[in-house]
Amino acid sequence: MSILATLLDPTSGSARVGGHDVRREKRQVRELLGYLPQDFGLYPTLTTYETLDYIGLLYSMTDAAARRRRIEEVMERVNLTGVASRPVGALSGGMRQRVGLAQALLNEPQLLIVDEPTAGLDPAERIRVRSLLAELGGERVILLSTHLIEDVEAVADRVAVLHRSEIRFEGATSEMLDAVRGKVWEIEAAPAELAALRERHIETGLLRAGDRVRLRVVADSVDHAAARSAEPTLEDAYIWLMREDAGVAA
Amino acid sequence: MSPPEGRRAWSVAPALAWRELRAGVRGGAWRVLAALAFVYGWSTGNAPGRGASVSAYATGEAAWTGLGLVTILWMVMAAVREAQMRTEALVYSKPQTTERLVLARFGAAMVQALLLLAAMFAGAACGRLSVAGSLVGFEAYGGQIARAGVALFFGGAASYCLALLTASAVAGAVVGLYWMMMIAGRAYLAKVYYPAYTQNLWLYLCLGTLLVCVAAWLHRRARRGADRASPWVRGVAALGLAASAWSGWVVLRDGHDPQVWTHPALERIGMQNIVEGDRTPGFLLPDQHGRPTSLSGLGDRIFIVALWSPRDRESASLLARLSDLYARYGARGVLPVGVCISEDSGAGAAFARGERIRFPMVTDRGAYHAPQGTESSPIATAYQASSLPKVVVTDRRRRVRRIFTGISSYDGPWLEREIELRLRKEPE
Repeated sequence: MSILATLLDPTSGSARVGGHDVRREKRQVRELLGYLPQDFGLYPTLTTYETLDYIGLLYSMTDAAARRRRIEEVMERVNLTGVASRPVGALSGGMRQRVGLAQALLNEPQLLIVDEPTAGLDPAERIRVRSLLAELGGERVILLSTHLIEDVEAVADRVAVLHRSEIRFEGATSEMLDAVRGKVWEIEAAPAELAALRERHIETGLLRAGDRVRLRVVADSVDHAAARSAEPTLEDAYIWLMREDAGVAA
Repeated sequence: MSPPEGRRAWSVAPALAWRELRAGVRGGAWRVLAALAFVYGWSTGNAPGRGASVSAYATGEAAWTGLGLVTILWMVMAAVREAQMRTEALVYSKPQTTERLVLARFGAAMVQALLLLAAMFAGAACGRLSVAGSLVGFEAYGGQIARAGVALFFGGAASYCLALLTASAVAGAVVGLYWMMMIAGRAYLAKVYYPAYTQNLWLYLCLGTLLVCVAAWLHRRARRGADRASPWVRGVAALGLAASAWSGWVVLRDGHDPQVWTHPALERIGMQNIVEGDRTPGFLLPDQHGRPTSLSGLGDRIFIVALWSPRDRESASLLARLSDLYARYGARGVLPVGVCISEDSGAGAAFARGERIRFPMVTDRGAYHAPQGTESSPIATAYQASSLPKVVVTDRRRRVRRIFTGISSYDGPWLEREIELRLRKEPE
């Protein structure tokens, strides 16, 4: 993420954004992208509008009237107009995240890089940010990095699963689901059976059903009388892709 | 969206600096410091006297020492604020050039520090007004603001650059240690190390500019690899280096500091001796307008040679008395000549402006620092002035006729009586 955002130089290999090399053509790359890092700060004494105005200058938007118009558009888009004159230090976490998103959209980027945009947000704010990203995805390429599968389900058309710098999967979300289809099982069992089942299979979920439990696992096959095949989710697919690290035989 | 080029691109740096400035002065820390600076200025500047020069000088000294330390810490915090507030990723992923960012941020933080300086001098002016009821010689504050401002600029530039390049507040605070050593080491350090002395201002102004350019240059390398710096950074850095070298040479050439350089003319002045009846020790020193001035060049007059120091507030009160004497006897050939004993070559001129002095005021900045200015001053040595003020009345052939040491010696009518006596013996 940092390499694509031109904050770090690659130690080896190369990367291009919009045909521009991230090492040699940083300025051109920066003009094309909007970046929302996972961990970012804002000047607490500046208001929302002033923060975006400052960022607008960093994008070299020197025409004050055009900058003002663009800031108003973006604030409207991310629903920040009501807090335009409030210092960002007084905003909630969700609002600050939306300010972060607004600053990344100021230059109408062709590529929007968002790193864990919903981490640490309450459920209502998480849904709001996720919906916003889904909306924005129709207009530009969004590169979303997340550990939350719900984010991927809501936003992504294509997915790449990275694990220890290695690409485990790359393709459409439907292809990712296809990769695990027929390998997802739900087993209704007594609680006493749980330990043995967990040793043999990779768990992706557990629900209580009265005095019994419903264990969801991913496996090529399951040898249990109460096991039945289930519709896969991206979470199941992700766990399946990571099965080598789960420490059990699939 | 294509970036603006040429002149329009330049408008971004001041616009960014203005927004940084607004963010800074809204903070509680800056407001508290501004209030404290005003009160500090009031307490140092509420000096009595005919003009505002004593108030201005005392405030200038307090500003570059005390406020200098505050400025160093303020600039260190400004340099590492980015990392503390985690704004780096947002800011440096934008197309704006690193040099402009560094310049805008340094400029904004520096202006905040200079506004604290302005608050301090505003406090001093109010304090002076409350004591004296007038602001006669108000322009003396201007010179002292400039003097302290350059010192703050240098201290701020050095600390900002160190902290920025090392990304460490501790490294920047090393400049604070240098500042404290400078304040504590006035008795033995060479004068060239002091950024607030008028003779050193250009040197430290150039050095400060050079440091900012070098910081912008190296910070760019840290952020963007081995890219070449902007032409203006390279140009100003080269100019700053050349100007610093030239200013440093001028300071050493004109100084008289045994730890750095010696000046034969000043040594010759110091080798003279004052004896009643003999010709008074001569000198050739710049007056308040920068003109080389000697007693022999001032004609056949009755001279009142008065040695004083801005460090000694009581001796500075002598200036008002000399002005009165000049107004009363000047037309009859009596000429006071003030000899300001100060390490700062601009002190005499500053007091001359503040006290509206019309007679010659030369400055002897001495050979080196000493707890007492008189210990290192060649003229004080020649006039055997172990304490100040010292007043010598000569006849028209520059022979010493009367020596007064200390305020009590000429308090009352004694000085006037001596002048009247000289005028009776040697009418114009």
